[in-house]
Amino acid sequence: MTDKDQLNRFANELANKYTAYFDVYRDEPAGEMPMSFIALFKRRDERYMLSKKITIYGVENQQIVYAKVCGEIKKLFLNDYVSAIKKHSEQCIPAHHEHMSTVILGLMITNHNLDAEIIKEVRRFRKLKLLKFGLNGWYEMYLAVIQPEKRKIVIHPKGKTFVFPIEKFLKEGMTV
Amino acid sequence: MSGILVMLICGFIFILSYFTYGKYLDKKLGIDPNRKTPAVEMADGIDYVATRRPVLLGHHFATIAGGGPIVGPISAAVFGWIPAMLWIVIGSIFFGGVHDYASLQASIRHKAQSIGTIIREYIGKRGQTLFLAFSTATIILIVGVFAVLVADTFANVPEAATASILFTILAITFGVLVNQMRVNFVAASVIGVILMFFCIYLGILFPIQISATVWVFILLIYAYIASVLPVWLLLQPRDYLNSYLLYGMMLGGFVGILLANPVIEMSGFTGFYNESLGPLFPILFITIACGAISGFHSLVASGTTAKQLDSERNGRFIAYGGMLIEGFLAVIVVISVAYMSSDVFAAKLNELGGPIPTFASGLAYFMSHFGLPEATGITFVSLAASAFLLTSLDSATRLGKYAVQEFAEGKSKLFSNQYAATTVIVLGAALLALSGTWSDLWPLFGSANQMLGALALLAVGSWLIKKGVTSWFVVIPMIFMFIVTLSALVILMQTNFVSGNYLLVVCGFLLFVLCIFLVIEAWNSYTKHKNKDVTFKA
Repeated sequence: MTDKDQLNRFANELANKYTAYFDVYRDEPAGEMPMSFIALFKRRDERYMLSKKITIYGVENQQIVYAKVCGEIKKLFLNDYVSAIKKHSEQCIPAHHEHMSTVILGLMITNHNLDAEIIKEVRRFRKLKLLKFGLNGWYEMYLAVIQPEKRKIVIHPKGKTFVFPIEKFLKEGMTV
Repeated sequence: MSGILVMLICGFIFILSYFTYGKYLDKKLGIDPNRKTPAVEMADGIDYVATRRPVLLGHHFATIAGGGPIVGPISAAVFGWIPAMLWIVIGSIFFGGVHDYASLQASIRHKAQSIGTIIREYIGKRGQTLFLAFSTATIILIVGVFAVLVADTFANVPEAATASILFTILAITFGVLVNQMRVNFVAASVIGVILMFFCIYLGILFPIQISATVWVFILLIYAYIASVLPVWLLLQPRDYLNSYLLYGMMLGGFVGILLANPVIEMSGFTGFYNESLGPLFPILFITIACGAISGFHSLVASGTTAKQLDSERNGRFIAYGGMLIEGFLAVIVVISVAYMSSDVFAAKLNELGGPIPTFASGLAYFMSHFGLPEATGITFVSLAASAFLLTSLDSATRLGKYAVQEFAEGKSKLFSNQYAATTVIVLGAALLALSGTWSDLWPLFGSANQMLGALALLAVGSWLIKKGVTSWFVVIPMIFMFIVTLSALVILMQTNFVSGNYLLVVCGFLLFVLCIFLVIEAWNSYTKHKNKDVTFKA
């Protein structure tokens, strides 16, 4: 099995893990860029009175995960990747006042060694944008590099909570 | 008589009833710990999430506890502390506790549909529309009376006004720190609580002196803004920090009473008639609402709680237990004023400008016995009590906005707009707030709230009768509440007419008519269903 096959297998197993709470779309492109999978999680919380039709308030939170098997990661690729997922995710973010947050996670799965500069770039990467001055919520974006062979994930410290299950998954068993 | 003795006796009775009457309710409601609740059966990690019971109790209690268990008992203490205490204890155990617990279990059995779905099942769509109209009228009352109560508090305890403004800013900042900046939640909570006390300190240093009338306007503008802002920005973080105020206040009050060892000086019973409130029956029973039984508990809390309960066995702990804890809070409230003689209490109520500053003064006196300066205690308790009223103000305005939009749909494009709809609610509340004092508005609100409770009991009673379960433990409280609320509305219309408060007469009349229609609708549906095998749609 080639390295790429192994990584594809890993991506497939990871997608299977996401199916518990996410809608997973395999081999779905984000614009022009092919992805191993895109996973979408939506949660709506409501406080209502008398019946579900009478909502005191509703709050929606989302997570969108893009996963791509990569070769060597360079700056140019990183920029293209960010552009692609940013453009694609914009259509998934609802523009209404009940939207609270959307967290976008761009996963890059590779066994190649990473340049120090790329590691720094990924660790620093966090975009947060308020929508309509916060009245329509906000979105935040993180990049993460997963190295299954080394069982390592590189991500911004504030994004660690979103990859905690993947870390567990790496430790538990899926080795490449 | 010793205040500690009264507190401990009531606490003991509540605990005893939890294990005895609560167990009896379990049997009657057919609790099966092995039957899967919706949180387990339909677990999807989103809507139906099994939650540990202490966490759920905290959520549920923070939802149901508000300004009600404070304002009601203080107002009703004019009849003497004994009738107030008796209604709190008996009401919590046999009325409110039953109401909350039965509503929750009914909701669980209907796949966590709210009690409203069950009402619709028996009262029908027309009944539900009437119910919505009734609820809207109650909502406008809530916004009006709560605005007046908070305005009076801020005018008389200006330190609390400053603290409250700072607390609002703190809540928004907390929300941003946790949501957008992703600061560690525990660290942010610790900092939030410390800063909360700093707000109190600054409030004492820089009190804001404004008249109550001006405060009413400011608070209604606040209600407007708060109800259109996203909930995660203000309401949710404010709700979260409020719970620390609530638990701190209850703990401080409990310990303070133990240390102060107050002697009850207030008259036990002053008579069956009071000059300001009217006859003891039915007025006592609608004045003390949330500390005994409250309709809003079943409508707002049960739908959420039912989806998180991991076992039917835990329903008693959360719903019945939650109501008993609220009853205990009401007991502490009565003791906080009962250490004064009736004359001193009446004078203080008048001097301090309302029930909340009076309660704050009493509790602060007790808390001074463990070293908390009285001025700090007064500001802290006033802040805690007003914080709950302000959160209810926000929620009630949102609800009212929904109701107006619902009525306007297809009829008026203007009032279908959320900003216009909110304006209607706020203007209606302003009219009410400026038309009378809190003591005029509170009984009207109490009647409407208790009527909602009676209607929820009607729905639960119908469900139990259909199951073939003897349901006297629901039917008797229901009949009692219907009699109390309808007779109270008649008396209030008469009282307000004599005092020339015609707007309140009209409000009372509207509520009365809606009540009668609802009762007729419910009776018709009940007799129709009695002879038909109606299958529940979950």
